[in-house]
Amino acid sequence: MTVIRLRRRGDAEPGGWRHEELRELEAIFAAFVRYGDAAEYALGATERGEPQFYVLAPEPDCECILSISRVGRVYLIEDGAGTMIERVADLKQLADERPHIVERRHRSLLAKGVLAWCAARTAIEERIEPLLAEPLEVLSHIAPQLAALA
Amino acid sequence: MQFAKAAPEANEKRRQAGTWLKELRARVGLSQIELAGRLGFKYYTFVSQVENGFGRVPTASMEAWATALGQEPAAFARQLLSYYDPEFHRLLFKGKR
Repeated sequence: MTVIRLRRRGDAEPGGWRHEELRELEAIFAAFVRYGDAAEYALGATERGEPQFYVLAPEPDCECILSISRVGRVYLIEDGAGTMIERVADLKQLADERPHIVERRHRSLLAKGVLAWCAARTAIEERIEPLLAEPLEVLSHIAPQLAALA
Repeated sequence: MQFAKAAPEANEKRRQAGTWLKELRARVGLSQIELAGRLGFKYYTFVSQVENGFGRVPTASMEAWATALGQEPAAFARQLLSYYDPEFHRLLFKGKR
């Protein structure tokens, strides 16, 4: 006689994910944690019940930085702004892409950081340069007179 | 639909925003797929992300969300700001109704 053990859905599929899928997803999450980009993850689902895995940024933001959803037979990987990063048929494929996904996100963050720094520097230069230029202008007028006195 | 692990208080407001958006969508009788279609998304997973309180409506597309949900854009943005950045909202609209 063969006994088939029936498991509760909740045990078998946490948040709708299969255990092997969840292991892959947790490995992706771990890569983000290593870079200091993520602190926790959450599980959710669309209104049609497709499972979603959210990688969340550390406090204070705690915002979703990466979302992985299983829709039909494909996995959709989006960033926190809804931009599609990848679309794969197999999570193993995604695991191979793991370093690229993290790197890509890092490059994007770096680019944003550089842009923000450039904008800040331009703003500072615009405000400080006139202040610096003014004393130089005064000095250029006074210098010949001072030289004559010397 | 959510199965989230414990989230810090900072997430609470975003979650409230998600619930509010979900109510607005229900009021206009759209599914997540239909809303995503109106917003020009190929998939509706981002709508779900936002409604579950893990993502924000990007500023650049707030007007499109407002229009799709039958809301006046300025009031919609103001309400979202009260969820996403309550302190900024307070500074901007303190004393205003």
